[in-house]
Amino acid sequence: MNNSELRDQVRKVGVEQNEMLLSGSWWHSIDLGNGIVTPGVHSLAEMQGLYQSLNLPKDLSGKTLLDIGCWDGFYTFETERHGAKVTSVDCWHPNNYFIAHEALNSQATFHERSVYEIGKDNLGSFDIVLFMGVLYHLRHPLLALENVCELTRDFAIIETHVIDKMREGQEPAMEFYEFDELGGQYDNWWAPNFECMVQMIRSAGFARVELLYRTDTRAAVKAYRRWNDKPQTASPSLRILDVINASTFDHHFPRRGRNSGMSIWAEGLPKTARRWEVRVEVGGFGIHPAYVGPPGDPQYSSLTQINFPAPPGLELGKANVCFWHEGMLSKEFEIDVSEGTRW
Amino acid sequence: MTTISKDNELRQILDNTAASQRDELTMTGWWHSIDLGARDGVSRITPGAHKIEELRDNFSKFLLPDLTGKRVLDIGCWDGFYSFEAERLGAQVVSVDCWRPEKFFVARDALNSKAEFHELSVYEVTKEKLGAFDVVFFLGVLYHVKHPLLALEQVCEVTRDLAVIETHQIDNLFDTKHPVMEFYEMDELGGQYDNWWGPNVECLVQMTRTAGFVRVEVLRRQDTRVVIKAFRRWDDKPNEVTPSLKIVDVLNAVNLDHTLPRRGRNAVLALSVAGLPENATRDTVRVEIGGFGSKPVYVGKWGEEGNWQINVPVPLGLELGKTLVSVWNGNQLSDDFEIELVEGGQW
Repeated sequence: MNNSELRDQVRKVGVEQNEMLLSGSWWHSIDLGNGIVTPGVHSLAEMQGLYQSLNLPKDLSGKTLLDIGCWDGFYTFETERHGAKVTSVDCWHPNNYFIAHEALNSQATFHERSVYEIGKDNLGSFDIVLFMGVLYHLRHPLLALENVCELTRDFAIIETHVIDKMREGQEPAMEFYEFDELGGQYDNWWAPNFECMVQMIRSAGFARVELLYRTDTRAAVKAYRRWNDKPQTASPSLRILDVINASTFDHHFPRRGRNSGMSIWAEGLPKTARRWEVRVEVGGFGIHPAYVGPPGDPQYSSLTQINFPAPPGLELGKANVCFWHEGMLSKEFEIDVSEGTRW
Repeated sequence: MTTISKDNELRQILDNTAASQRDELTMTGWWHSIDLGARDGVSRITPGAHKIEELRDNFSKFLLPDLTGKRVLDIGCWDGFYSFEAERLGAQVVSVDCWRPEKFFVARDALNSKAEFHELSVYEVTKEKLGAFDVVFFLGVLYHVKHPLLALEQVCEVTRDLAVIETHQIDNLFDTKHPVMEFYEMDELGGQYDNWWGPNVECLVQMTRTAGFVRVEVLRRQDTRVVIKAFRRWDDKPNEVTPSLKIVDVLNAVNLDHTLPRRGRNAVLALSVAGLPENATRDTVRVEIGGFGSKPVYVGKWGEEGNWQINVPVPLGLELGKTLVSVWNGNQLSDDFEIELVEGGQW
């Protein structure tokens, strides 16, 4: 299928799905027991297949899980069935969710919120966050991903429409929909290509992104808050001499806002170390360095400066900072995290 | 593959220009060249990375109305060339930047300027905090922000008449007819870490309209930059009411009730209108709410009675309480219909 045929196809499917919804269909097929399955636009087999491809642990008991954009609640009820303690969020009041909730005797709690209104302050944090089919409905996708990251302790599953097959070029970019250009629907705003999706997720504060699946027009990834290659023991040759605020050059570490960037002054890192080889951890969360190189001031040229944003969701008070490179881990350095500004 | 080599060449030029500007900035500390007036017969122009002729040429090409007595907001003012130039032309100026630009204060003292400075992020620029402005400058900021459409919404909220928006753009770097915006995770654009997004011009224009401006004029295009002028009002409102065109009712387009929030995700109106011609479309129909234009997102037939449904967002920056709504199509204008706006959430 060429670009414009694929666009037509997406529109055709969008219009058909809308008509089904208007004539009383549910969005999700949900097995309510006693042989009753809700009549979803997406069949039960399709939903179960999608759930399988998320590759979630069979046993979710003891895990807290947040389902953002839950709609009728298939993922909420399915993860609850696997043992998770689930919180569901949508920006409207989805009546069918409550029908299924009651039929299944679910303990999931629901909040009617925009994704911009959820944060650690008002919902706490979650081991697992699901952010499925929401990103392209948003006017401010990167802002939403920052909120998702703030709430995530372990990993988030992020699924969205992607445009790789609809345009030429591999540069990270997203396409804008002023009206109903995508799928004939007015509530679609931006769709990224896969590269842009991954880069935005990292910029939002996730340490690692893993592909779960990709089709012509959709992609799902698992985005982790932690690195998976931290050495067990610290090596004396790598040392943190100081950690300073990257904007104000002092020792105030606001946990968020435009002045929350941090800077490690390190000794013992080889000059050949590149930013994508250096891992930083702050308060237990992994984060990507934006800069690894010599400090601006030539008198410190034997040292290495490592700049990185404060990972979203840090607690106030003491936090440990460390970094590693090619199997060598620095000792921990303690900083004091203070409240910051929203922006 | 000539386009690709041209892209690379342009990206190379971008990198070189940014690097040489950074060098000049490091050397002199000034971004803008500003004429501080002569002292002892010697002219004093600050040694900016941008030369004074270039800055004056930029300003003159904005084709601004007489600024006497106008309120002007300069978002991302840096050393303040555009603030002081607007003030020289009679405006009352408020300048905003997300840091404290020391040189701005040096120039302000030297010029005896009354421009008022606020250290704010563009996301913190609100009507509640700063009031509304006849003219807003948003020059060279858009590609530095992580959430460009949100920033444009803040710009729109504080604009009464028009905004001048200047940005990096990628028309010559990206070969597409679709509106797109390129992402810069690290320092891909010009070797700088504080660049996030580069839109093509079509994307910029569509975002600006989506933020709430009704009309956008492209003033000036260069290889990798563009200047647009964005207006809050339509320029074709008929003078006289046509009795046959009538607003029958105004509903909330999301909840289909009469609760009309002035902002947030439910701040969309559904106008029920009688008397539109059969060939009316969202491109021909104009709506005005509380003196601001609003561009319909949907125009279609509604129900059995032959009335029309026009869905429009509530324009940003309206006060609570009674507000007048009117609609026109060509030279047909409806009477004003009164609605009552209530508070809504930010989102």
